[in-house]
Amino acid sequence: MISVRGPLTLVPTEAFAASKKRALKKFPDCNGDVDAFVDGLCQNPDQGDVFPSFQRITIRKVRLPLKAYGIGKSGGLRLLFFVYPDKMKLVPLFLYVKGQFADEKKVRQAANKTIQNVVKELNS
Amino acid sequence: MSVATYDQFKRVADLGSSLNLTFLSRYLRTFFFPLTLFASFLLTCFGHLILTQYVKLARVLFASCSGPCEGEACPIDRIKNDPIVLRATLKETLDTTISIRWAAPITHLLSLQYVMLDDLVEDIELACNAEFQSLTNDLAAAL
Repeated sequence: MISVRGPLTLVPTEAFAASKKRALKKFPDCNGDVDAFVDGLCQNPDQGDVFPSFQRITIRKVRLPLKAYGIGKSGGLRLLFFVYPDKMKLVPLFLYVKGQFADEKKVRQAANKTIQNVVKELNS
Repeated sequence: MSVATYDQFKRVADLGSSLNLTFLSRYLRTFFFPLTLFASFLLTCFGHLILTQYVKLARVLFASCSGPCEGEACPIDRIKNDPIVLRATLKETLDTTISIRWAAPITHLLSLQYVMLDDLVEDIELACNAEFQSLTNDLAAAL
């Protein structure tokens, strides 16, 4: 696991924005909180659970509360993000609300589809 | 992954499975006068401590995976099914308990455990997936 220090450059994508829009459809008041959190991640990216088996990059998943709706971390948002320490870049990948998908297979499918769109967007 | 960590995990997993959660759900369905509820609450607190430890150790094992899955040799493979089975049992217990108004503290603890396990299962499902790994490599290349 690579520990990253210092401010990273945020790479915003339309694919992530679309995933955020879907996740926050029922919780529009939390838009600002998510943006602020993502900005904060660039200063301190060592947050959340690490996904294993990646050598030069880091994938993490962090749990966020929906404070405006009185929902704690356990029932709140899940943010998947990508850190590339060599290039000092951070890419938010996928955002969803706990319970948004019926099971873990649906989460995997939706996450893969969004990441696929992020890659397409960055390549174009 | 150190062998000691896996042994630790196995010990906690065995202890967790010895807690008969199905029994707890039947017990609650049949008797729910305050004394029984108190006993069930203590049992649930004990279960909560064990399950928290179980998830922590499973996370350590999960984070220690260093490469693509190689079937039997993959450490994640060995812990993959346990959380799914445990989650199903917890769900059954939770469904029973939720209808008993006085059992709110028990339901709260059970749902916390359920979410912890569910997050672990989701993470394993995502990370142990060839498509996800290949996409993240593509992403690194695209940057």
